[in-house]
Amino acid sequence: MVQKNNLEDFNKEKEEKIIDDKRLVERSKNGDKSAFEYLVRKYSKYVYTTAFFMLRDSQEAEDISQEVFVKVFLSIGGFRGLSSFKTWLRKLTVNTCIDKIRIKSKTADKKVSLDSMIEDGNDILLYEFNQNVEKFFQDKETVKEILKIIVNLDESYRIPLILRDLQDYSYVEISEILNKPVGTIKTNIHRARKIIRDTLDEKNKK
Amino acid sequence: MNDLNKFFKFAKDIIVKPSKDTNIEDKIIEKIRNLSDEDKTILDNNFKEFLKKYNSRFYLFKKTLKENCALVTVLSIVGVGATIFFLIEYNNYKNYRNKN
Repeated sequence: MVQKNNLEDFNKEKEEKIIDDKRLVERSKNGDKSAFEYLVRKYSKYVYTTAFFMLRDSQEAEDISQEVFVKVFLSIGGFRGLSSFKTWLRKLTVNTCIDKIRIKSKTADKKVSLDSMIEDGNDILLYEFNQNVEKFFQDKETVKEILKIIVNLDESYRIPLILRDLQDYSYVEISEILNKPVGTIKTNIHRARKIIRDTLDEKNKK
Repeated sequence: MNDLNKFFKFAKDIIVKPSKDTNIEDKIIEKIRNLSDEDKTILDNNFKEFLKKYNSRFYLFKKTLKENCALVTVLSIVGVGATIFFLIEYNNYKNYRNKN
């Protein structure tokens, strides 16, 4: 019964969130700048995070975030709402990042440490999972470890893995975005997951 | 792998907070308030293509079909099978009625 109530609350919250976005988008379409600014405040960190993991550079992630919101602002009148605003924003962010990666692949060979990124002043926030505190901290550390491995993966592994496992893109979509056969994408994602698993196993043995 | 999936699920909720000196929201808002004509060139052909795609029901429908290729094939086979079955049954019924 409690579970059912939680589910109902969750669904209600989800529904309110979507309606809220819809309303804000509608108001933005009608030229209400404060509604658009609210959307910026709501989603800027989400856009920044997506760009940050794809480009592995704080400054570039910031530039991409600005570019994405300028694009959204200039074209919001043409947004028909066939998908949710968040999905549209996510696709646009990924698209802009891919364009950036294509233009200059300077991040391709860069060795990055997530720790140094955090020391640069970035901070990783993890929304609380529904579990006990001890388990939460254990899992939080594992998630951080996984992200550390991901940011240092070769670009041909990193981008497909991020798109598939963190951004929920389908294999077909990834293959279209990256102009590579679906088979290659599947192989690269499989290898990336194996690298993550092996590295975690090695760390656990130590 | 299941465990890895669990952690990927958690990782989706991660937010990287930009450095303390950077207030990204204010920077974006400031930029939007002071847009120049030059900024409008940002809407290049690539972006227009993207916008066209994601505003097209036909494209999204095609994409769904492509992504669920196996399901569509199975449903089509079942559909064709069912149609053939009903046609045969209907013919049998018609023949039976004609005989009587």
